[in-house]
Amino acid sequence: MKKPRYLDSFIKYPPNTSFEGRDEDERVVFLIRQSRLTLFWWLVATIILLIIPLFLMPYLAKLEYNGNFIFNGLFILSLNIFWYVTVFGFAFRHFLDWYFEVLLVTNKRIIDIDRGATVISEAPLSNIQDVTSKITSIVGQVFNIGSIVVQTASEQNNFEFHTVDNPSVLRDTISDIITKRQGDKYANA
Amino acid sequence: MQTHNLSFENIVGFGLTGVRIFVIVMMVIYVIYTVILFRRIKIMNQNLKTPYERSFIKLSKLHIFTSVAATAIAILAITL
Repeated sequence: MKKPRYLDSFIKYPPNTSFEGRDEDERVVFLIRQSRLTLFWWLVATIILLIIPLFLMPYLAKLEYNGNFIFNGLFILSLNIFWYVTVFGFAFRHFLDWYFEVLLVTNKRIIDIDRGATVISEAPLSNIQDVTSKITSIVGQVFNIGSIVVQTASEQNNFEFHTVDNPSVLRDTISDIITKRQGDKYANA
Repeated sequence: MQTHNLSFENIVGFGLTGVRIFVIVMMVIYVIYTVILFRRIKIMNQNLKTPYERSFIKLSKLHIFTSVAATAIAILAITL
């Protein structure tokens, strides 16, 4: 059996995943995150920040004035701990922002969880009129990364989800669910 | 000449104290930030429940603890 990969940017039927306000008969069909390539720059920044104290701290420890060290060993230790805690905080926060910024497609609605799960919007699948995929930048064309725009019946409520992997495949998959859902609705009517 | 040296030492001493106080203030601000991040993670977990819910909370608590420890060590280093 294939092990579920929780950190993937596209997960079908994500296990143990739910959201506030989920109905009992509602199931998350897709969980879509931004491409993992978007993590690249802050990973590089984190690595650089981790290396800096290796050069900086020995220099600070050797600083002296009138034959006395300016900073004692304990202060240098606290600076070291503080630096690495800050770097961890920087990396952790960026990771969380990526991890919690998702587009959920359930069997009833589409939910856009944005800005570290602080801005949430949703629309029932029956209200969705159009799903568009876009690959605009050169980098996007190289890595097959783009945006998905989900247009709803309401004028103000368009969902835009940027820097996703395989936007065409995602558009097709979301469209299939919506078509199926709307087909079921008309069949039952 | 003696007076000049004394005043220069005073300036250096004042500058060093300023640097130390600045570092402590930054650390205290960071501790406040870690607590805010902890609260934010709780909201995130509430809005999107995932298998890593507990791990994030544990990491966040560790984050708060280590930042408090760094601040405490820095205060100790200055006062000792």
